[in-house]
Amino acid sequence: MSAYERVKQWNTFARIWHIYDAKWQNPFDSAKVISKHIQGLHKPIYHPLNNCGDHVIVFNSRHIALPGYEWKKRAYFHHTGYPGGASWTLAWQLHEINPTLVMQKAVKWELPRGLSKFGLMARLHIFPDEEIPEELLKNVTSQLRQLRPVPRTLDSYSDKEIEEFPKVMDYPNDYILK
Amino acid sequence: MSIQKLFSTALQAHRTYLFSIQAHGFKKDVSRKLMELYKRKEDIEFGKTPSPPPPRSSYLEWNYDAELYSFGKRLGEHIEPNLLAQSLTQRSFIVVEEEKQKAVGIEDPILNVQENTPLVDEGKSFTSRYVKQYLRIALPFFPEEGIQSVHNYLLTEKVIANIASHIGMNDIVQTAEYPIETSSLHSCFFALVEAIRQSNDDHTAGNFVRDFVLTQLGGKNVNDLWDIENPEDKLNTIYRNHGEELPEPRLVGASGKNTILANYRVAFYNKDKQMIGLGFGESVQIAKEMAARDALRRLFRTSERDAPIKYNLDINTSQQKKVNPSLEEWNEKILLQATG
Repeated sequence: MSAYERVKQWNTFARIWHIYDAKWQNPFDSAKVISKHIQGLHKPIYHPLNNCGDHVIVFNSRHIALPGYEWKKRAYFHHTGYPGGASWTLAWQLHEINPTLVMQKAVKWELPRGLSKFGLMARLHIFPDEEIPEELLKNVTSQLRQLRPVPRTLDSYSDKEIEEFPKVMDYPNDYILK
Repeated sequence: MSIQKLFSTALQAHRTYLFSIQAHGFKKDVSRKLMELYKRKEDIEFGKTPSPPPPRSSYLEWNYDAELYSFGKRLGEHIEPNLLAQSLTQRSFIVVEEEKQKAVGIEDPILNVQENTPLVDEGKSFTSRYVKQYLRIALPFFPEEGIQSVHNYLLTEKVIANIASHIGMNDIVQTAEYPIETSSLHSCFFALVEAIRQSNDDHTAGNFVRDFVLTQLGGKNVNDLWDIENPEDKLNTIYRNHGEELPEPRLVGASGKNTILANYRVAFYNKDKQMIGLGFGESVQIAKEMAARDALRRLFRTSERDAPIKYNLDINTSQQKKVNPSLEEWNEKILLQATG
């Protein structure tokens, strides 16, 4: 193998570091995309025995958005192994204990079963807020697109924006609101 | 219960080099491995390994004249029978034959075949000339240093002996040593080229060299056969020859900077902001050097996107083509004018 062929190989198998903003995103839909990148399934050189997965940094995991009644109805089961050791933790309770766990478990479920899960999960880095260690941020060269736009909340609009918002009609001055 | 059955576990344990029969199970693979190793040792010590086959010429029904005739026909070239016989006879063979005859009592040994030494030098210089000429026409933008390197590779003992053995010269060459050495195959091949040249003309012999020697470049990258030192300096020299601004290296990509798997992509850009070469590497320095290498091979028309070398060119051997420019005086504009 010549020197140029060697660096071509190096470039082909280089690990990319992606970053993903989980703000207002469905963790279960996001996990499908993230798990693909962790395994390297998005690459043409992919093979199950080929170690070609990328790293993904997920931030703002505290601000994920679960669909429907998922916060209330989704239960995370754990059993200590002792009699009576079963426990069911609701999603909102788990999120209060550790705001990265819902995202972490969602990705873990998406990955293929087997021992490779441990190695693959080591390439996922989840941070609850916007603070990411500087040495990890230096590696990042790619951003994963958010699956849905972040909606604006009503209180994020300033008084001026509300005033300038186009209106079809306005109440008459002498109209008394109930 | 028989005695053997009673002690079978203990016997097994002994056979498998287990020192305690209280171990969990028997390590079957240990005994199998040891038995296999012992068998191999036995084979070598008692001479059971197969010896190399005896030379084909020692067989009773060996008819050298018939073999020689069919060898010539298999090549598909017209070769004078005496020239063909001469080209495949090494000096060492003649010496041994003469000694044999002297041992029997013949004062002036008679042999109706000559040694190939005069043919070898002639054939080697012809092959060398033809290969260089062909490469200059097939790779008009490749500098002369590169042509020389590719030529040297093609004429090495390993490559030529490989060709010779694959056209069936292993058994037919008459030489004292057995098995035949690569140096004998190397010189006999050139003698064969010269025999074809003397029986026909330069054109036929040239086509023979083209079909057998130059085709060895198939699947090979000519850039790998020529190592350029300081490619960045060479690239700058070429741009100075063109009278243009020196190309500018830029970092166009990087990933995993803080990891041991860091990867950088550096590209060279010319004054028109066009990318002229792209390189990769684990450090910026290596990526830059590789980018310069890529830029050079794009200029020399030997990059991956260029068409491979043609092996069906008809070369006029009487007409000497001008030598390709050397790396120091390489100029694309002059070359483009020359090639039209």
